[in-house]
Amino acid sequence: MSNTAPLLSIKELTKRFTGVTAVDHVSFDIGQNEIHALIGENGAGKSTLCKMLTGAYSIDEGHIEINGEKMDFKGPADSMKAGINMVYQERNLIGYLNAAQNICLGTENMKAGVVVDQKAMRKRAEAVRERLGVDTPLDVPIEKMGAGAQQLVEIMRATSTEPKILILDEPTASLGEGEIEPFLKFVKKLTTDINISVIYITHKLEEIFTIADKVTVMADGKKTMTANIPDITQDECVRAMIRSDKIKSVVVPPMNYEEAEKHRVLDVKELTYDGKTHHVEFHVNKGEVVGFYGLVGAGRTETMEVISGIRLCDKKEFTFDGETITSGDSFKMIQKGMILTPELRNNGIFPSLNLVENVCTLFVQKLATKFGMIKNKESRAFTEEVLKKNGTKYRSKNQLISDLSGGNIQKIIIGRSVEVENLKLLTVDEPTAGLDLGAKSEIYLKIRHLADDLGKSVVFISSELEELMKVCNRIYIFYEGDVVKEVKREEFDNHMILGYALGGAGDGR
Amino acid sequence: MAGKEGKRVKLAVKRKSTVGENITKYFLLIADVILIVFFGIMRSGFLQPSNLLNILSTAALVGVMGMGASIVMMVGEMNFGVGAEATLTAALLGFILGKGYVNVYLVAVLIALLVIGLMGVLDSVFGVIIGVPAFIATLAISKINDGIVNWLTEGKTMFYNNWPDAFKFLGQGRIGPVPVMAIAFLIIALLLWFIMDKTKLGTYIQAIGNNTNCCKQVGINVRRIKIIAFIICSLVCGFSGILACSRTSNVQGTLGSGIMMDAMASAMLGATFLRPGRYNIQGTVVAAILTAIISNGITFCAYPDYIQDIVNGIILIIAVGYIAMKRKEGLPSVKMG
Repeated sequence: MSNTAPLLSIKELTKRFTGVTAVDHVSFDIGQNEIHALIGENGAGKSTLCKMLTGAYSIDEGHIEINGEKMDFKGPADSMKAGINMVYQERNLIGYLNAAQNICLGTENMKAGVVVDQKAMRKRAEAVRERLGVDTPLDVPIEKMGAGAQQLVEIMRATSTEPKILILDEPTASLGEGEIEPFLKFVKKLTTDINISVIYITHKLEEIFTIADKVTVMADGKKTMTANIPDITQDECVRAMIRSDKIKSVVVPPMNYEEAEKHRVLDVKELTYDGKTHHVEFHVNKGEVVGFYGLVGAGRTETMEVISGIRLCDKKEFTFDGETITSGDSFKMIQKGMILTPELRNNGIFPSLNLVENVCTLFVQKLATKFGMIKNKESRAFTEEVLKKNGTKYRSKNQLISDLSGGNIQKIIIGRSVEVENLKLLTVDEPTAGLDLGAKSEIYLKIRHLADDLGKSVVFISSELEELMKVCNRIYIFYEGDVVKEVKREEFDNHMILGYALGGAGDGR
Repeated sequence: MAGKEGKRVKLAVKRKSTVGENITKYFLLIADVILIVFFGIMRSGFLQPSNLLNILSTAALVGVMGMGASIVMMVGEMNFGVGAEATLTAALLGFILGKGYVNVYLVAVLIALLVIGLMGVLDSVFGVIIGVPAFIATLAISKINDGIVNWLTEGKTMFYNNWPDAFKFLGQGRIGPVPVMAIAFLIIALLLWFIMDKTKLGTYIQAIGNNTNCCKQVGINVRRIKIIAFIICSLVCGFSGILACSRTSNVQGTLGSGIMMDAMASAMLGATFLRPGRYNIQGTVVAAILTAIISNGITFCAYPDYIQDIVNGIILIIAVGYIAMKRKEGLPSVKMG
């Protein structure tokens, strides 16, 4: 075995699914103690590539070498033995078991051959904890821990097999803004402290530039670039990730606030829900996109759900379109011209119904005869119109909505909501979650189009500050249920906004 | 965006369990004690050891079948054939002993259990391997079992004079003052508790019900564990059938279906005990005893029979209702199709 061979060498790996080449002759090397970022849009083939590394998928062409030795994985067990382990994006833990039991799951210590030895497992978990230098509690049920702690437990489990290579699939996706920085430091420390290399899959470019040594960019199943981090810029990465024609730039026309203030659509001061009064002083003007930014759990969704009548509350009083409203469920609010698209895309659709049914359910009254029969022809025509207006890609109006991509589903949800008669205020809650850059930019354009060309108002809730700064006229910052700051477009500054969202005074810390 | 997610990597441990949680956890046991005291006050004879032992042996039928059903529920599936499996086992046992194919009781029991174990395999072939929702697969297979039972019993209550005395031992025998039924109940409960809470197999059975993906990822053979769960369930339920026919010295077509609903109910009620939200053996046992206390107490106090059903129903709905209110996630759901 020569010392010059890289730790892991991926050679011409190829994976085909019926008719589609998901990974197309990808090659790159990963060195000792290296953090190698793997980026690309959704569907670029990152996950498929990693599943071949972990043995979950068979390899169609090409091979993997570890320390110059050719590997042949028949299943995940082989890959684990060879020193590759992966932490998936979604949490894979047993909620009622504690950290020690989760770490040893599948590899339990036994006493007398039959009884599970809790003490030995605890000792093993402690050893792992020591090695990683973390202080996660070991005897608390996982379900009582926060997302960050759960993530650490999964990493502890993955490293307990002493792998040489650890694959992390979008590890920060489930973390709040405040958790990310310490987590990145922790990953960096992993490579030096316990002598492993990390393949770091992510969407977030800033993270890569903070911790990675090298980056490989994939697009459409092909590798488009591998580079050392200090040698390239974020722009170069983005260009390698997408075909430039797919991304559209967003233009926000300047706002005349004095003029706009005359047409306040929504004006809120205080809401009482979950037994607490929250000071949420904000307003939305006509033709304006207002962003809500804050940490996970800062009360952005809750606020809009209370206003839209979806969430029960103790007391609410606000002005909508000149009318003071103190009660009303979502049905009533939709009739008044206010609608919300839910945070979880799947809560906004009927997954097992087709496109026509999904689009028309909101408009049953409009599309039914006076005897309550649905007018088929009108429904189909209406659906077609909505789909076309929003540039949705679909095969047939009879196909299930769940067959469409997330971006297209989101377009239908927004497109359908906009058709509500005399709509004045649309709330979109995390509309771009899980979408790739191309699809995201289309959603941004759609939101701007609503505000600029149709004169509607939009409340845009998001955890991605960057997109809010790109699209919004103003941003309200939430902290622990309250609005702590209003920022106009001219004053946008991500350090300041993040500072407020973290509960500071906005000096960026 | 529920506020559940923490904001710090180092997350403080949440508070210790509260009084309310403890009441939830031990509701069934508290109900057991309260009812025993209540009936004891109403009729002093109720508290005699012999009567309490009787309660235990009454609980055995429902309890054993309930434990079997709860094992399949633990892996997140549902076996709707537990009643038919119990009847079939009883009918097989009665048939091969009665027709004189086998003369040794123990051998006949083993043969009957072997057959019913194979029924468990059949359940899992359709429910786990082929992928028919287990609820539907087991319901369909239970119809086949019903048919076989009818064929074996010729549609009548089965009774043979040449059944050996051992046939009655499990259901009617006593060791000293203690009914064998009660002993069998406790032994099976202890055995299953040990398997479920102390061994690897039990850990996996419970883990699979909680998060199948996680188990696959760490290399647990989910299918194999599920198949084993179905087989254990069939064996345990088959044994409850043997207990039942031994108790009445005959085999009726309704033997299993008569206890099935109570057994299912005690498994579900059991999921409110000790580890709310998760099916567990201890809970099933306590719930089965609760049912037995109610039926025994009501007979003892000479209240009319219908009171028993009403009281049973009220306790069931209060217990599950309370849990549903207390727990955000509600009751553990089982795949119904």
